[in-house]
Amino acid sequence: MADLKARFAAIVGTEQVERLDEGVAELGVDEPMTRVSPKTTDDLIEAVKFANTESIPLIPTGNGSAFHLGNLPVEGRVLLSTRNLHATVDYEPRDLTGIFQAGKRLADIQGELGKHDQFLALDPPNRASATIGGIVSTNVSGPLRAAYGTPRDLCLGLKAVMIDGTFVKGGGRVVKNVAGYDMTRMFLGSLGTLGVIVEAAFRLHPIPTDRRCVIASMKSWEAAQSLAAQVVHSELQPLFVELVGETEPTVLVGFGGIAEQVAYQVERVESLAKDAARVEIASGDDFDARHAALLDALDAAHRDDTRLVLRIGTAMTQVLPAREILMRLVDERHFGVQSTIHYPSGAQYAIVKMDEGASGESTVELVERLRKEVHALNGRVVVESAPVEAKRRMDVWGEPTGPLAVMEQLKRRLDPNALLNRGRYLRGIP
Amino acid sequence: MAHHTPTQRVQIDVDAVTHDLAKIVGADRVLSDDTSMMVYETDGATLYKSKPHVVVFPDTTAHVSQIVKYANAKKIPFLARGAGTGLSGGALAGFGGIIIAMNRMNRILKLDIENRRAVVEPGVVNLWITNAATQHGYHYAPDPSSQKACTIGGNIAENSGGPHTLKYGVTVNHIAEMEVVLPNGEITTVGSGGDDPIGYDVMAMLIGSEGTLGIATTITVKLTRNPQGYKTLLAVFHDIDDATNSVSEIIASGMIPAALEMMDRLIIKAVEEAFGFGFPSDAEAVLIVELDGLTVGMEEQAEQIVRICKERNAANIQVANSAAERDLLWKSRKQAFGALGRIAKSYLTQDGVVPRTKLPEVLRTVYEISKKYDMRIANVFHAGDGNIHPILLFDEDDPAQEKAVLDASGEILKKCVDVGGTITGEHGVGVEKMAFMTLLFTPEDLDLMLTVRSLFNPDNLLNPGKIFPSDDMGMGIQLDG
Repeated sequence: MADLKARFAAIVGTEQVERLDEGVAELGVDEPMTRVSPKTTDDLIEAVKFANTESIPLIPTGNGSAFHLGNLPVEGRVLLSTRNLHATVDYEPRDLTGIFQAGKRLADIQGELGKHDQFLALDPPNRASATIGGIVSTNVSGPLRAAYGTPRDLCLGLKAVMIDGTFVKGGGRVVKNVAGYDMTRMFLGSLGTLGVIVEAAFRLHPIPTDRRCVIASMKSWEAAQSLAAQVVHSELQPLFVELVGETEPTVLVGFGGIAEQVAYQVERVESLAKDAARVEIASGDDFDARHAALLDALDAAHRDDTRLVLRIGTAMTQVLPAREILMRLVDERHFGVQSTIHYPSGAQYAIVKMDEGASGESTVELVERLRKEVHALNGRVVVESAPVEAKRRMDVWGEPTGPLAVMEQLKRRLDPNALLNRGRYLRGIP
Repeated sequence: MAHHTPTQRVQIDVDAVTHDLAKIVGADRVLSDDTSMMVYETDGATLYKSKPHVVVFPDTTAHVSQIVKYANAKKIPFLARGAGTGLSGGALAGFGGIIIAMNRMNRILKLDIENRRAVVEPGVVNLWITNAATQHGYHYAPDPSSQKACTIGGNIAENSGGPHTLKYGVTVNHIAEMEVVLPNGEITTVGSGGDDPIGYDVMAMLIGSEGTLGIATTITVKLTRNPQGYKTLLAVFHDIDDATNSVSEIIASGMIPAALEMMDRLIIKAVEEAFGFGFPSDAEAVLIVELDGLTVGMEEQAEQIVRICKERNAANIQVANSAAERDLLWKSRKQAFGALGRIAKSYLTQDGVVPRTKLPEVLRTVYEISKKYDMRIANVFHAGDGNIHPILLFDEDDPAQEKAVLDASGEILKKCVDVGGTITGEHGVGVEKMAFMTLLFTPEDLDLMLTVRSLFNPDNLLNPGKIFPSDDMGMGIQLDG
């Protein structure tokens, strides 16, 4: 181990190599790990080449805010972090595009863009600490996806280092580009298993000047769903439509833009929410706080090693049937659950609070039952985070959205010795 | 022209292949006579020609799978083709072989308005989806200029765009799920109805692969709510930089118009001569701006756009106040290509993209190139996206002019790359721009793509001779002119 640290230090400099004595609990590693954080792309390339030559498995990471994602890594004891690569490569406000090194934090990017009243329209739960490379690698998004899409829609191009040290790029910096295959989206969401992303270009947006949110406390989930559906099928252009709560649901519909339009839309939702128990309007800082609260609940749950966080993806019309399945299974086990539903995308996040002393097995069994029943609705269940004990016994991903054989071959071609995030991606992907 | 036809063709026993394919789809669904093959020798990029040996019309996914397996067994190159409206030669049979014409698989299978989805077959024409959904208040957003003819299968192959992509995105942003026949004939499904991918995004890799990684046989598209209202403005400029700078300023002001389209002097003159819209004879640029969405506040936004254009010396700003007036303002843009047909025997449409702020510089270069080659170049383009479409006018029967068109195209594309742009925003590389891939991509970048191709399409039987310089048959634009 000491030797490994020294050898990486010889490549990237002593300051850039640390020993993490306790390991990383979320990754299920309680023995010492080495974190290598090169200061230049060239150093990162050399570090990757060295690992490849010596067959050292690597866990690519940014700031470590998404270690809860994925299966537990196999044999990985070296974290390769992009956190020291945090420059803005290019930002032209008039083009509404920006290029950033992978280790730049989203929060820092927003700060820079904010000076020009622009922002990168992504609001993942881990937005305070997440790096842009991590966001691209995990394709993580938040409520704003209803208006702006996910990283998959906003990322224009990227650069990556393959396991043999080859430096490649996909896409570019312009908003339309169909030259060659879409390598950008190949890397997006690949959790660092195909290459280490070192730079990404994005389409940016103006910050909506006026922001207001309608918060409607509904008497039932059916009433909440009905309100959300009416909004989605109306002329309104919400920034988000969220259904949150435990037994009593709340519908949050956010709007942004010019004041007159926002006011009109808020009124429209108020009139649609006639049968709500209570309706509040949050604007300005209050809006931002409400928006943040939506994200913070999930962020906290991702970090809480006693919680199970599930992402249930279905068609919009199957959101409630899927929730009912979840509630029944959770009730049977006397667990608690809190839901956050991005209604327009059908993405449903469930924070499950398990009994103290609930075994890893009962968690695994819950996930298996849920998957089976949600699958009948043509939906899928991904475990975003879970107690490590439970993770050891399950596959967090479930069924992929494409042929596993093709994905497996892709991985074998691009990372033949499975050195990048070994074991952390889909079952069947080395 | 030997220059624009391939030098190699595969040898096929046409009668035997016709006979074998007839066993799969029926004798009336297979063509191989020379006259029919002429119909399929070219697509919208009429400069490039190569005949298939056989054209087959499947009715079902199973047919497609069987045809593909047959072609694999016999090692015959094959490709799928929709309406053949592509503009880079992607839908021609580079080495001959089998064209699988998807036109009979043209049913809209399901409209699922509640979930904002439609399930369609690949031969469905783009506009049909919007026509079917409009009574429910929805449409299919990507709207290539050929949307009355082009098919969804072709749109997927090319990752097609259109005037409204500035706000709404391109094809890949609007496909939720696809059933696909892989190059080995296997049938699989990619995508998940719309939620985030789990595992590698194979669907995105297939979209825009110019038909080289698979053949989509059933497609779930996303539908978009029709906007409550539109506001369409047309402004005439006497200086083209004023027009392009207005575009940048409109975007920088925080508005995202649904469309920002421009036409330059030559094209204005052509549409004026053909249709008499009343544009001034000294007009250097026409800018069409369309806002869509909520009607509330739209008037103020329109006024802001008028202000920006006026500050940039725009004259004759017209604002449409009815659907009829909107159609009239768009008419000049939509009939631009038709008008060019009246002033030149042939034309080639280019498709570069540049950062918006580089538009003035790039257009100046295009005009210099026009002068240098003594060739008329008209520009009609998606200014909001920085997606330029220089249209090079020439006479197809003059070999010297044909070569000049390709050389001038090459210089324009080089300029686009030099300022940080790309060689194609929506038309694809096809057979036309293969040589130019090396300007954008390093050998390592191209190797990565070829690795992906070899994974899906190991024998390069599915649509060979496209995209990659290593496949170049010398039909298209050459790097050194």
